[in-house]
Amino acid sequence: MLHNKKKVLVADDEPSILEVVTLILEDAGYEVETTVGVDTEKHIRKYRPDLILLDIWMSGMDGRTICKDLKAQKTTMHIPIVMISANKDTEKIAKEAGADDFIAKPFELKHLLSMVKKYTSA
Amino acid sequence: MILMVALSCVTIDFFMLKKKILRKSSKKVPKDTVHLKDKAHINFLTEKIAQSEARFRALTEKSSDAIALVTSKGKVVYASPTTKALMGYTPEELKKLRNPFELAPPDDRKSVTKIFSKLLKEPGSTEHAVYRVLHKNGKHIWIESAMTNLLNDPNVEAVVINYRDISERKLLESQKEDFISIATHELKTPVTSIKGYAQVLQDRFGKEGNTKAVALLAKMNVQITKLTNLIGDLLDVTKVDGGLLQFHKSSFNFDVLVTDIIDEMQMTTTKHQIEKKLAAAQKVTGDRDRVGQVITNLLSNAIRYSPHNKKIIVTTLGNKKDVTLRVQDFGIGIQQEKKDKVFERFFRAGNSEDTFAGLGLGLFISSEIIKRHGGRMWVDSVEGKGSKFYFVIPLTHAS
Repeated sequence: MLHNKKKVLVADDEPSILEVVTLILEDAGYEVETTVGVDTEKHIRKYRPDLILLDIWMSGMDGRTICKDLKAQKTTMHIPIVMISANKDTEKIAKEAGADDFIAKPFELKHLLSMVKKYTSA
Repeated sequence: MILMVALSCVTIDFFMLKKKILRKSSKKVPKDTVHLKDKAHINFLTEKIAQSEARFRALTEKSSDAIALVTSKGKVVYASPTTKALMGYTPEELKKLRNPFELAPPDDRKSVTKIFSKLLKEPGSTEHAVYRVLHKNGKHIWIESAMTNLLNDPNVEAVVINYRDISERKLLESQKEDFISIATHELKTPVTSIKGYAQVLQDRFGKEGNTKAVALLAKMNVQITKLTNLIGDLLDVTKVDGGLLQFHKSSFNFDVLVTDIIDEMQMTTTKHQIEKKLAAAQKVTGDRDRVGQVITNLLSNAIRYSPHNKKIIVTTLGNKKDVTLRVQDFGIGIQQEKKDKVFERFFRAGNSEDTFAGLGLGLFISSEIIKRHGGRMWVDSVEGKGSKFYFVIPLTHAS
């Protein structure tokens, strides 16, 4: 069954968020890879995740730019992207950047899991 | 503006007096032999008037606020010298403009011109405006002006505009907004991790069957949610101020939303029992989360302000046009004279010595959300008996 695990890439500049999301998703049976944002695009090409959870506001990198770039390239445009941010206007920003969905921080565990399930079970 | 009027009055008085004396004198004696006493009197008055004029002129011209007189067409007929210090243009340069708002960028010009047109319709009225203008040095400055329509006042026959540079204040305001917005974001990040860790623990203890730990962590989760809402309020209030509150419309079933919120809030209290009588039976187009935020706020207030009574009743009604929600508690209530103030920012029920928590922002933000949905919010309350908070919103609202 191991090889059937869905792969989720989490990009956030806050290590504690990365740890928490990893704990939640690994407990739920996902394979998780994390990145602090700077090398996100390189990571995606190498790791080929089934879903990307992308923070909007990262030091050194703008989540919106990463999202737009990924959605513009043939090799990555099929990967669903869910944007995460503490900004209340996450929904609007996510839509403008071409993301598939959004989660506002702080999120409920159930909400995060149902979102991940929705985009990895296709 | 008062100065200008006073100045005109003094001048007019002087001319009338001078005429009167001369007329009186000319009747009795030939013009070239004006009575010495009268002549001395005229000299005395002339000097007085000159003094008075110099004083009022100095007050007008040395004032840190600039003053301009403008015709109904918007043409500047007078501008005090302070104008040069303010906008870089001399009064003469200002008079050459088609109208003084020409220096404002298009959006600001539109809004200030609208205010000016409104002012022209009501003689004697005063309007305030805040807008940017292009300083001669090419930079925008923020101007705050008070415009008074004295076109019908024979002594002035102009619109009097007092204006000042408020760029510094505007900068501070925007720095404050930026600061709160960044601070909110920074506060939310650790809260997100704490909430996450608590939920992971709750989940793991649940799997182990440790119900005691699960219950404690559930309580911790409720407290974290409260903290999150407080942080959210701080951000919202700066957004209301900046007109930046955003809404994401969708169509939702009103009663279902109310039920969801009641279920959520019931978990935060063991003492209170929330009864529901829901009969709106309508779909509403609006921001579900924001309307939910209002209901949450009303329920948490009802809980907070009824420490000795456990019953809270939520009622909804609906028709083809709108839905109404009522949250009734049997708590401390609101004093009659404070009823209108509850929707103001920083208002908190009870005396300052009382220990009711809260930032005093909830109802202010709630009423703003309801207003922006085209609805309204109000309260019925008897001190010591309890309160009934209501809001009504239309099923759909353009904007």
